[in-house]
Amino acid sequence: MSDSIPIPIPQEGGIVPPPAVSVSLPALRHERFSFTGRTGEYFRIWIVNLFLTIVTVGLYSPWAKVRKKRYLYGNTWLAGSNFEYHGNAVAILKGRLLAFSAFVAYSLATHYSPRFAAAIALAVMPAAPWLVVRSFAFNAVNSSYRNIRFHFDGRYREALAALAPLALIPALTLILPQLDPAHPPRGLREMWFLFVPSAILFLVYPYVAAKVKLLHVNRARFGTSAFRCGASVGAFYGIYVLAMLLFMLLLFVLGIVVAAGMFVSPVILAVLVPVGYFVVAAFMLAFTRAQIANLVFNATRLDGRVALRSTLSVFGLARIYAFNLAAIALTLGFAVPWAVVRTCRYRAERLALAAQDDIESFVAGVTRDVAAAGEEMGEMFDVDLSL
Amino acid sequence: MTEFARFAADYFDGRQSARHRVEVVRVGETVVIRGAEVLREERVSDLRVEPRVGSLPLRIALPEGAVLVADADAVASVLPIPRAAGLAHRLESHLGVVFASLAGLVVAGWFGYRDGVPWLAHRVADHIPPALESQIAEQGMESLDQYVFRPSRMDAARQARLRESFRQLAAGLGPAASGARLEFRNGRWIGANAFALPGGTVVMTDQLAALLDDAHVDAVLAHELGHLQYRHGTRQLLQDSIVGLASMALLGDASSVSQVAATLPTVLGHTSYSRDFEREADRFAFGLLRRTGRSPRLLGEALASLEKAAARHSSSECPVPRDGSAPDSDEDRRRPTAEDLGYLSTHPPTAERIRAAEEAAR
Repeated sequence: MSDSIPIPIPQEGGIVPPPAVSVSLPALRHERFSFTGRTGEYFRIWIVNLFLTIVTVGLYSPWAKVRKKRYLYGNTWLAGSNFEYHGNAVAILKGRLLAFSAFVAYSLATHYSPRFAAAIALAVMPAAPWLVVRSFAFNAVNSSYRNIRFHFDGRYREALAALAPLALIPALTLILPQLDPAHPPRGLREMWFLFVPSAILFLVYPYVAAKVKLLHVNRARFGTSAFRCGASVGAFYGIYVLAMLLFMLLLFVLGIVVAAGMFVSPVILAVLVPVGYFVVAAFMLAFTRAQIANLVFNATRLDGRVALRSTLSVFGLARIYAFNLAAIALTLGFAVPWAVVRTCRYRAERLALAAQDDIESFVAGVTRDVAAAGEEMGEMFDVDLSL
Repeated sequence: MTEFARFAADYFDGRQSARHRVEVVRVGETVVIRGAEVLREERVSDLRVEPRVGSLPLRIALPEGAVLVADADAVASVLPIPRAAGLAHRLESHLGVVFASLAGLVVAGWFGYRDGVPWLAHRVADHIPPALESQIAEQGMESLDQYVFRPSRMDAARQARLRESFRQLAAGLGPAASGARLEFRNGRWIGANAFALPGGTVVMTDQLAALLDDAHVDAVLAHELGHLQYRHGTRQLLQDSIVGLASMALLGDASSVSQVAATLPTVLGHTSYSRDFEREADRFAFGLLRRTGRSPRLLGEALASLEKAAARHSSSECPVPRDGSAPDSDEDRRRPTAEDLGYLSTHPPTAERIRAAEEAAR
């Protein structure tokens, strides 16, 4: 955390000064993020809010969410100032009640009229891109740093274009041959169509993940400063294909270990299988998370001149995840606050702003987006439908 | 003249992200905010103090969108902090409340897990149409037939005999069990076993029939009818989903990491719930056997034979499925393997169940 005193340049009309043109390139300067949350303090907040949530049959959960997010945002610091979360619990409650009633309506409908249920499901599908956009926008506009809000103005059609390939999967089930119970298929040759949906999912998933992430970053602003991410869809494919290969390799190794364990004693299996499951899960999560975060952050520029530097290490994150998993499982969940705090700390420590000119002048010079300023009050955000 | 109360703060005007170091001085019912580039005066009643969280700096909203950020304790000695702005914080930092929450959660978790989840699953199961149940069961049976079972080689006369006594046992039971079907299959590597599929199908393996005589097979079938009568299969499925959903909802804030961890209570829950169901099905079988003029001891004896067969078989055999296409001459003759780790933990100790049968027979 830097304690340097900001040099504010008062600008009429809130215009950001143009970046200074430097002749001799100064060394790249870094400003690190840091996280100051403490396990004990977060544990108290977590447990009291969890208890209130259960006692109120879930009605308190939006307030609990806001308290926890405010603590986690508020303890994330950059250049001597912390982030803030402003989500309105009543808006979140309305969104959750809406989602819950839709779920109940759907369950009742499946009971009494499958046709009506199918109609609900069909109606919900085109709403998915809208939900994604609304959810990103709600989170952005309710986050601030130095009293300047973030914004997100992605469009429905952009989200639709990102998600559309997923519609291939239900569409394919209509085209592909159906399983005939009278003549169950024998052998791989007759079962090929059973694997088509998973194969398609594997083929389109990196595309969808990349497009959603790029939409999220490229339509985000901090005040009037726009984020731009130059990561390519191909880079996402590289990460996911590698992840798939690694996953198969790990399963193969695990299979050999389990087979070897069985020769010794079947009781060993009772230990080996869950431990292997946790280790593989932690490693795979860490691999994709770290690689994607590094890819996206390191290709992102703010205002075209400030870069983000993410240096998450796969093994560092995997170790954190593995211990988190073990601790949460062994304490029946009571270690969650500990896990959250150490994960936030690691992620913050591995993130920095980098610029060639003075970072502080950038950090201090971002102006509020006057055109979008009304939206934090507007009825557009009366209902939170974040996923 | 007395010293005015004051505190140091960061001032953000809301138009630009510049941070201004200021001093806030209280003069009667107004405060003066003073820094290198800032000078403003506000009425104390126009300041809005935002709720405290942990030991984070306090935020004070000023009219027209500016905020002051300052150490909470320093502010408290200068400005009145409305009770509502500190209520959640007082609860969260009160040690008594924290311990009461901890105790409350442990108690709620215990009873919710032991009584709440089974109760809820039972209520939900009552609303699941039998047609849906049998549909799920048919799909399950299909994949079992494809990957595990082979057609039964039991002789037709014995099949007819067992079906007839099964029909007599099931007659007059509740709606979920009275119309039950009995299916015979070559169980191959799963060995001597019988199980009930939701929707009214009981499957027994040739290996079980080879191990037990008709009277003892009937006792095992009575136990399976108990599973159907109480709809254990459906309730088990629902209980697993409820435990999974609840742990996901409650532990969900460590994101997907705890979602993986949340599968653990489901697995643990599965085994303990399933032991309760086995005991309930045993008790049902004792009653049914007695009502149809047989001894509950038959079930105890059947269990003892199953366990003995499994012990003879011991752990030398691999309980993992072999390649389905392998010619299976010696697999078919293999002794039953009722006992493997899964069976051990999902069923109560056999000795306990045999003792219960002896007591019921008295």
